[in-house]
Amino acid sequence: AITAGDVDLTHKSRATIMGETLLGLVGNGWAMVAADASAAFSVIKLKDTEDKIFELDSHRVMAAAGEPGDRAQFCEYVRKNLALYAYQNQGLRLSTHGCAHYIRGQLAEAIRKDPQQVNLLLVGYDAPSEVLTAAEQPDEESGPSLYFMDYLGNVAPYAVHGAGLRLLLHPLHHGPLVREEHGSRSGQADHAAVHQGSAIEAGVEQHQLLCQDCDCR
Amino acid sequence: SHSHRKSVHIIMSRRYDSRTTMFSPEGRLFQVEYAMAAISEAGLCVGILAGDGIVLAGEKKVVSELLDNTGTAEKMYQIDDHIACAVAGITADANILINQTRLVAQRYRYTYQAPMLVEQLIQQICDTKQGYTQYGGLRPFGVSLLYAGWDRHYGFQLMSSDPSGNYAGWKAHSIGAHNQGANSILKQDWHEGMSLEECKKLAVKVMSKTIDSAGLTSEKLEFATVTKPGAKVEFTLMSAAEVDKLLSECELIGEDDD
Repeated sequence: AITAGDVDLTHKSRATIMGETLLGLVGNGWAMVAADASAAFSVIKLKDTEDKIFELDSHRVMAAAGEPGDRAQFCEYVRKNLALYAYQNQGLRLSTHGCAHYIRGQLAEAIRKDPQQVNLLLVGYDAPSEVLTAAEQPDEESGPSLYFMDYLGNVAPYAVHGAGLRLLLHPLHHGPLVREEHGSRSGQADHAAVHQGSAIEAGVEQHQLLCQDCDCR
Repeated sequence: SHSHRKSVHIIMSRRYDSRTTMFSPEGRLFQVEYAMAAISEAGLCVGILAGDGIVLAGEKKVVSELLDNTGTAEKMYQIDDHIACAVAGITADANILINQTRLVAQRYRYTYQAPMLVEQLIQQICDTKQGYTQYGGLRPFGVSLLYAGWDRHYGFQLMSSDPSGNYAGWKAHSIGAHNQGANSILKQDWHEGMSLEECKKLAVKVMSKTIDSAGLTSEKLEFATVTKPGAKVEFTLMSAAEVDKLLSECELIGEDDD
């Protein structure tokens, strides 16, 4: 059995429509996203080295699932618009919160005009504000954060897409669990194991992990 | 008619006056300059940055006992939760600009679910102002604004913009009639680390020494502050009673100093 603390994570899962899995987690000072690496066409596996994780900027990473063309194009579009924002604002980057809502707005408009078949997990780390007092932080625009966005324009600050939906998932479970038990960077290695273990159970074969923390590695 | 102008280029400039979007041979945009001249007739506005907030003060020009304006201010306007401004110039022009700034601020909030940065907002409205100096054949806005705002990246900020579309950040600044005199007093008396109360008193001093008026009362002056006492930024337009109280506190002190 695969466990994380007291929670039993052993689940069988069925493939969803896309058969893809994205997972995201936020911990104490870090945020992580994982994605499977398969590209399939119905029952034919085309490749198992597909990179579904996009670096949006130095502090934000997005994992995308769905139609390959839309995935690549939409992520690139977001990446370039984030860069434009920074150039227009003397190098000041948009926060993860702002980024998530910007993306949500784009998807919500697109759904009725030019639908993009992408489901996204966005993670980021924002440095605390030098202006706000310690008592006012962390606020929604500082520290690590994670957002779930789907092709309809939904956005929520928790996350799993696809087959992984059957795996972790109770925000009640993975919230406090993550923060208390895996509060240090060494805990990330445990997490990776959890991910790989649970994903293998689901029939997903490969993973890529990108970690964002205070050092922004 | 331009008979009152004492410009040396009186003959030359007449040819370039009527087209707002044309340069003169010396490289001047006359309509922009004329707009600034209109503003130098308008009521003085002073803005002062304190460590814990910003003070805005304005000289009212429309003073009459018959005015029925309770609640609306002549000089001070709130743009968003965290940004306010003081206006010098043609009020009707100011109303249009302020409406646009409010739209810009809310559109940003809608897209990013977060308040716009102060400088971002001013940049956008200045881009609009600049447009009126370059294309469309419309005259520029006859308004200068003093913006007071707070954001989580740069804290309290005081900025000004003029009809050309240029803007700048200030520690203390004034616009409108006699602003040069007012600016020199600010230059002498402003120093780092002033509290909001000290800045209010400095604003009163600047107003009293600059405006030609027999006695200053809340009838002639508007005061507003932008502060952050807790989690939220607050824009406070001082009531007439509060303004009178502030003035009387200063007059008492003023008599000792002078």
